[in-house]
Amino acid sequence: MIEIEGLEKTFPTADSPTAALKDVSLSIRRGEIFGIIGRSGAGKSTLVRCINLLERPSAGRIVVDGREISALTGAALREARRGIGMIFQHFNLLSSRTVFGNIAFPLELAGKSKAEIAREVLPLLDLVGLADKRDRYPAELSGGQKQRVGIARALASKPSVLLCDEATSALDPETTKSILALLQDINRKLGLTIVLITHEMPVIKEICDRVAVLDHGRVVEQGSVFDIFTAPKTDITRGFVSDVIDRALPSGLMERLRATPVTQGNVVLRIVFTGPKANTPVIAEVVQRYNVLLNILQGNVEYIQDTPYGNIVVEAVGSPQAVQEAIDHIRSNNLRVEVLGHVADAHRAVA
Amino acid sequence: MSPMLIGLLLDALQETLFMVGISAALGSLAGVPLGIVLVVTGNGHILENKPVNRILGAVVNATRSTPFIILLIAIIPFTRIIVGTSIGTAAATVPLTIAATPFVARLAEASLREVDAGLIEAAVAMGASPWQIILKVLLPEAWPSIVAGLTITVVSLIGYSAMAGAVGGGGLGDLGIRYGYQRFQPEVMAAVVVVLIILVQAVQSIGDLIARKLNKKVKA
Repeated sequence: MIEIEGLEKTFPTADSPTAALKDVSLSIRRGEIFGIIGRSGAGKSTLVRCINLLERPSAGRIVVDGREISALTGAALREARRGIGMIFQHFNLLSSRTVFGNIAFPLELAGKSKAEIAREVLPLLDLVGLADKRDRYPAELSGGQKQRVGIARALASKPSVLLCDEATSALDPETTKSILALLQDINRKLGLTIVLITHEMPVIKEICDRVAVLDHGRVVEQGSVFDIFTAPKTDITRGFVSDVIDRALPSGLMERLRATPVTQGNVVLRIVFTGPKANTPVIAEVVQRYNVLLNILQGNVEYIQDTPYGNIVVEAVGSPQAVQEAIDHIRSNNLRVEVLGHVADAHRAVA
Repeated sequence: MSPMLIGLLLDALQETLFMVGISAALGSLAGVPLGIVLVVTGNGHILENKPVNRILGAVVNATRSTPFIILLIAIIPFTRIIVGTSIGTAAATVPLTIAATPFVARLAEASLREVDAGLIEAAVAMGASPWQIILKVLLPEAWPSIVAGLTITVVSLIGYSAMAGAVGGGGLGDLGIRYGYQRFQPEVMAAVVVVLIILVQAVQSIGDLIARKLNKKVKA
């Protein structure tokens, strides 16, 4: 749907040109919700603005829906832009127009008649749940309602792609959720391809199918949201993931944890369950078969794209040999096991 | 107050309203588009054009920096070409219009610049042409502020029109100078000042009301 090849963007500055994007290549599929995440200054806003040529790339090619956008100018470019909707962090609604007038705006630009406009705007008002606000001005609306108007306006010209430039960053968490739910609903109902820029990992986790991580103008990692969450490869990605899934050990445990075996001590393991394996009763099997007791120290199960992702930290109580057998057994079930360290057995110490 | 004085005041008021009305209308018709050109040809704007922007800016500044009383006299030949005479109320509208145009242009420019760049960007993203952006985004969004600027212009023109007496333009200022100062009739001067105060007050109130009605940025 969207092919970005070798995209470069350099901004001229007083002393030396600054490269905002370096050799960015992405392939975004029809009908998916594709997230682009990065810290501020990573170039993500520049990237999304290159897709509709609000920023003209310094080099590289951008093809949207079979048309090479980066080669267009003038009227042909304006025409192509009508097929790409966009919503913004600060909504960018016309203050002098009502809700109805704002949604009608792109239709007016395309030269539609008043009757056609009314026919197309009313269902959009229903879609975004603002039918009762049609004659209100933006100043009378809440942030969430403004973004709903922005979404309806972006959909008015029946685009095949919707670009979201930090669309929820100015909203509170609850409103963010409702806007994301609306975007997902639109994606499913209309089969619209959505490209979403954000610095918030929960947004990616909530609705994206695939994600690219941008750092200093480069794509450092990309893949399915599930893969990125469960097996991040770079530090920057791990940082983002920890915003959602906190894998840090409790401080009390950290103090007791030793790198080398402790006499009369136990092993601390992290067991990671992903995908369908998260539902296998492996823990119970280990306890029964190998005579190893597992004392759960920390644990959580997250659902990413409706797939469970479990993460538990246990203290394995048993003979070293039995513990090793138990670890092998868990691994043979394709679960990941990580030995975090050793602790003195609190119970035996007391006894 | 004598009936004669009332008659004089009414005639003078009529002349002032004529001069200010014509020059404000023509000055706005020329000044607002000029302000638009100054904005859209500016750096990074939708129709960026440095030479046009610089030349227009220089012309506007030159006109603005000429004291009105000098402008009034300096363009007498031009006034003769336009209205056929350089004396009288009609003649006075020419320099008034020429003074009003760059004044309006700068005020309109400031108002148009206030329009959030995000709105222009959104319109560009929706495939709007520069012309559509001017007519459907810039002007409607800046309108309340432009109206406030036009109010200031009208008030300034009332002041300028007092100097039009120098070319026999008549009006309230001329009446005040001739009767109040030259004929030692301070009551005429006082009456003129009172009428001017009421006039300016009325213009300002009406202008504020219109600007407020147009402004949808504040909650109703």
